[in-house]
Amino acid sequence: MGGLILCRRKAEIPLYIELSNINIYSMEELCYYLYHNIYAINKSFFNEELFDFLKHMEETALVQRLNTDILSGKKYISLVWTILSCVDYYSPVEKQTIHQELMEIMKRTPAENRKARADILREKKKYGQAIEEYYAVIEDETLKASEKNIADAWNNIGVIKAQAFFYREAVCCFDKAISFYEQKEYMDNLICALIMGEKCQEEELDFDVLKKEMVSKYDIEDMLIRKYKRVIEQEEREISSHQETEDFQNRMSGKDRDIYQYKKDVNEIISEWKTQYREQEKERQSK
Amino acid sequence: MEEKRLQSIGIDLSSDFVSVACLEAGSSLPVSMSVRADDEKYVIPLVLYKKRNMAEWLIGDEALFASENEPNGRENLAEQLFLMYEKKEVMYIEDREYSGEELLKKYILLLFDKIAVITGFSEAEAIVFTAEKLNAGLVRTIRQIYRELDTDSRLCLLSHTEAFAAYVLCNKKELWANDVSLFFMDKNKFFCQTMTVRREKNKSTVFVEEEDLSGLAKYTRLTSEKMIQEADENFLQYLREDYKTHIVSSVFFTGIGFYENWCKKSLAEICRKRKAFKGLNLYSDGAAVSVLLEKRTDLALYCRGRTLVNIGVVRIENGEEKDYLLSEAGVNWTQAGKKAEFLVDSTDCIKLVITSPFYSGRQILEIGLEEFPDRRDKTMFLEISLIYENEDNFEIAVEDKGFGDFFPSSKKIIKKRISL
Repeated sequence: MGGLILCRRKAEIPLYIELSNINIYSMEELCYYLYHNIYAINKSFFNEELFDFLKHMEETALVQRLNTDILSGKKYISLVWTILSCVDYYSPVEKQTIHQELMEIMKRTPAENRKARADILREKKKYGQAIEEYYAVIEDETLKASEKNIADAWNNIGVIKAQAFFYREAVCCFDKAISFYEQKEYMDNLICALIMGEKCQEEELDFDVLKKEMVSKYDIEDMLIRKYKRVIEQEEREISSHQETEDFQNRMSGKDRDIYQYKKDVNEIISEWKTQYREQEKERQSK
Repeated sequence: MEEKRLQSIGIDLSSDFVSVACLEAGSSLPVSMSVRADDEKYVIPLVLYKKRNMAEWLIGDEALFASENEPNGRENLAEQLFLMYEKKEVMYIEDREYSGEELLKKYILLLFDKIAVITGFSEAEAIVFTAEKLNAGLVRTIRQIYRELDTDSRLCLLSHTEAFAAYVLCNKKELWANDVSLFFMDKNKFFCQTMTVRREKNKSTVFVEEEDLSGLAKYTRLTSEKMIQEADENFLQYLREDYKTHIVSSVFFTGIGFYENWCKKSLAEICRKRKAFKGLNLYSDGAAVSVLLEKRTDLALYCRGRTLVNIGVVRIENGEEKDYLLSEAGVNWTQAGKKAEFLVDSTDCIKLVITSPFYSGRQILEIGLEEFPDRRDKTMFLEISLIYENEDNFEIAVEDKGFGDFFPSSKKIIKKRISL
């Protein structure tokens, strides 16, 4: 049955979720966030700030239930369910479906959950944190990750590296992924990274050596590389015709534009790049 | 000056004069403010006078006295302030233009100085204004004056009918054991208001209905003995017919039309087995005691100045449709209405429900949400607010408030003006 649902109160001081860089002002928003970011959440989510927020929202009974859950050693997924079930944001039917989904998540291995969290972080462009999570999947033996989990983690690190134009590192990651689990997607990524790295030509000499090594190791035929090159060129043409690309070019172009707005746009773009770069550099240095 | 906090100050803004009554803390008896220490004169003429070449202004009798005793004093006298205000007229005093609104504001602010001097009060819990035509413009002006007063008193606004009902209902029960009549006459009108109480187990319902009597007599035509006799005879006939249909416990007379006794025969008929009262301070007294009526949960009043219907919005609770009241019947229209936030779940319209406490049936009005972004999956907060413009019209505003940081508001507002 459709209609209007009366809202609960809204907080004057929101709950800030650093992971997603988002403020939560109501219990409805909290439920929405929990359900849509279930893989990004871990036990650290149930911190003092969350409890302060719940107290501020006068959710005394919920706070008591969560405390009991924590003391009895329940998993964080159960805590998520406690919140979702206590708030009338989702309908009884929706709650049933969500409950089943949460049960499925609980059945997954810790490594699968960790990887899912890393994937969410990657989608949210939190690359540094995503790489940390992928490394945890690869290196933390207590998570008991399968070879496929580890291969996926290496592959996804490779994708992040390639997005940052670190093609040499990306190739190494895809190579490691293939070494754990052979999958066409990993090989596709490796070939593309080789082509893109060659195109960039920043590390021409070294990269050429790496390329030869990979071509020889995986017996990659010239014809296949040419085929991928054509695909990449086609993709590039399509990208250049995208509205997004045009908007970006306009923002970066000072022609016929208000100088103040132009500087503002360029600064915003550079600032965004800086943030991404710093995050990745932090991660590189920690390794 | 002694620190004194009153329960309320009632101010009647009639068209020609103002009267003031105070209700002391703990009392249920209003005290009309007399402007003369040695006499019972409760009305303050609605006139304003600016002392020649000085920044000082006077109101009421002082203004009239000064204008008559200073050379060319009439030039600086602003009369019929209410009419000037209503007609948005302007007046020039010493080459400066003053609007009716400006002069009325000045008058009321000076009135408060006068009240402070005469009553010796410093503060009141509530300031209650009453006026015959309490329209949106007057409400706005009074609220501006209230802000300028910079007081922590509560502001209440009442129609004359509400003030009359409050006066009666806060009086001895024997006065309203049966119906109560009010006769009002001034230069423009002559009407009767009848208050009826329907007593039920837990709550009594009070209605006030109005009947125009200008066909029986007109104040401006009471100029000769013949005309007066004719008017009295007409009034008497009306009363005799009226009293056949219901029992009246008490009768009130107010308005300048009853200042002189033109209806002797009628009055004799009225006073037979009924209590009768006459005075120009009825509305101010009623305004002052109206604060006592606010605490009475056993009385529901329906009259001019009050809302006549319940207005709600259909919402879903535990899978069932329920009404969420935005405005209740029987509330002073200046205080009626509120706002609330809702989430939109799989619907393209909001449903307003209008019901009457006196009739069965529900009138449903749908307001489409097509102008808003297409998010009906519980990711759009809507703020629905209801504000009355006067007792017959209200405005519903539906605003897209977004959904926190997830979806920003489109800043769009759908407004609908609805006449009842």
